[in-house]
Amino acid sequence: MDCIQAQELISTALDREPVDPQALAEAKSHCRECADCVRFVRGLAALQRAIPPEPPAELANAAAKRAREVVDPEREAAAQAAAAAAEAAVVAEAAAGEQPAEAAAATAPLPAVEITAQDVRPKIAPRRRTGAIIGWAAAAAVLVLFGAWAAVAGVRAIFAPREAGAPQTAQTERSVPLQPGTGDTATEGGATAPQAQQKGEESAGPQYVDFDGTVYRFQSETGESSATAQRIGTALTSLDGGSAATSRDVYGSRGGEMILIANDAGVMLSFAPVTRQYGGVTYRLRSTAIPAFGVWPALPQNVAQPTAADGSPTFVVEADEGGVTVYRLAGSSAREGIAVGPGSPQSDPAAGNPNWTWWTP
Amino acid sequence: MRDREASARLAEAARDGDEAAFETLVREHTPAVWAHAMRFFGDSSAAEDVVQEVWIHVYRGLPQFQGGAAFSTWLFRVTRNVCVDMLRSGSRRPVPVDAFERDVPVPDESGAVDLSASVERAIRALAPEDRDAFGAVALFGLTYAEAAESLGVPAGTVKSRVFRARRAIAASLDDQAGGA
Repeated sequence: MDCIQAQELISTALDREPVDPQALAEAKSHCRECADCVRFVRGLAALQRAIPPEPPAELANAAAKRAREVVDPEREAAAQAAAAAAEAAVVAEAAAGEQPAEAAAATAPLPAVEITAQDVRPKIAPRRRTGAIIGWAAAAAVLVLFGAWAAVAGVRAIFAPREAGAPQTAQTERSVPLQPGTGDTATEGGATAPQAQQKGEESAGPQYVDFDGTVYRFQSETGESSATAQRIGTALTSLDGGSAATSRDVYGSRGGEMILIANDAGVMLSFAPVTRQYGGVTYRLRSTAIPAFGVWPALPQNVAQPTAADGSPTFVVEADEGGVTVYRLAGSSAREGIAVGPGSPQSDPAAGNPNWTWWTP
Repeated sequence: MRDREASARLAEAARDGDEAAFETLVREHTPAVWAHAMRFFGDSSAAEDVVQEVWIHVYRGLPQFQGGAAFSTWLFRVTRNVCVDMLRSGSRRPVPVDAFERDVPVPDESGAVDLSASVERAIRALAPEDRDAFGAVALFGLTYAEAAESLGVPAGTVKSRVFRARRAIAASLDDQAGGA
């Protein structure tokens, strides 16, 4: 056993980590006879005797008091906001509950309020709930009348989802990217539809595609032709919020970073990478597959999902940038990538996304 | 510092609204937070700010605390993040190691003052990654596996860093004592 092995074994034992007793005895024996190791052990003994710096006597009490002063009002405000949201949900629930079956069917594209109401219903005090129902009965009546009229007049078709596999005309194909958050997205968006519904209008879903793990956002139709553009790969996307995703050729744009994808009508659509600036560097949004518009980007497979709201154990805070907390992988630098948590402000490129997002230079 | 199970029970009680449990938790763990901050910044004013901020974060995050989880692991992570945040925001900067000697409050015990000051000076002179690993294990009582999870490195790396830190501290103490 050499000096390093002996010293490391003793250090490990000091940390109450399991060590082989026989090897430890050998290490101690070595350290009694070796001059270098004797100095190491003497230093360890001094380190053990030393007392760490001690905080001022009243600091702990002051810190506990301060924490309550700061956080308790935040909690009260959050509770009030939750109560207000719950009340609004009950109002919507009351309105929906009063509709006859036919009218309810006619207004089918509005189920988001029902989902929300079920989520928060147990939080509502009965007295408050009754008051809300009475207070908004008139609103319910209006909805009922509207629903009945809609059924008779055939307005239902406006809200009805496009049938799966129905051929897309050039007009509908073009209209999808230009009208995000249509009934198609809300009713046929698969796993993403509830997210979009719960998040409301602004979260109806971005017009994103992913290409080689990078997220691109729809920009516009272009006059470019696939005959002249250079094919650079394929992307799996429906190019709308509802139909089945298909593998589509991706072309490089003459301008550089944009990509082009032709829709079923042969119209070339341009997409730009979703980026953010951090530390003077441009970071691109990376994600798992985005098979349809309205699907929010999520952490790539190789980045573990954090289990706590503070990003742990995957992430640690890197910096606060304009109200957006930027995280990096624990044990790594921001040069390898940064993460942003859900709930970033409207001005942020990740705004509205209920998932953690991952960005790389 | 209390044993791990006791801390976890206190954290759960604090999470469930027991104010006395939270105060006990703060009293028990503030010395580790303070020592880590002092070793990071070398300045008692900055360390006070860190302590305040850490407990605000912990109190805010208590509703998400998983019962049975190691409280010290979480506390270490929060403490480390708060220190790094303050440094990055420019609100606090570490003072040079030499100046640190003038600002280390140590107990007024015969023989302990010089030793503690020497140890703190040696710890502050460590490479940051070694100091972090050493603090996680020696101050917060984390296992190598827990420290590895918090630091995002393998447990073997934690073990190596802690050992490297101990060797450096021991050598520094020996040098100051006039050893070979």
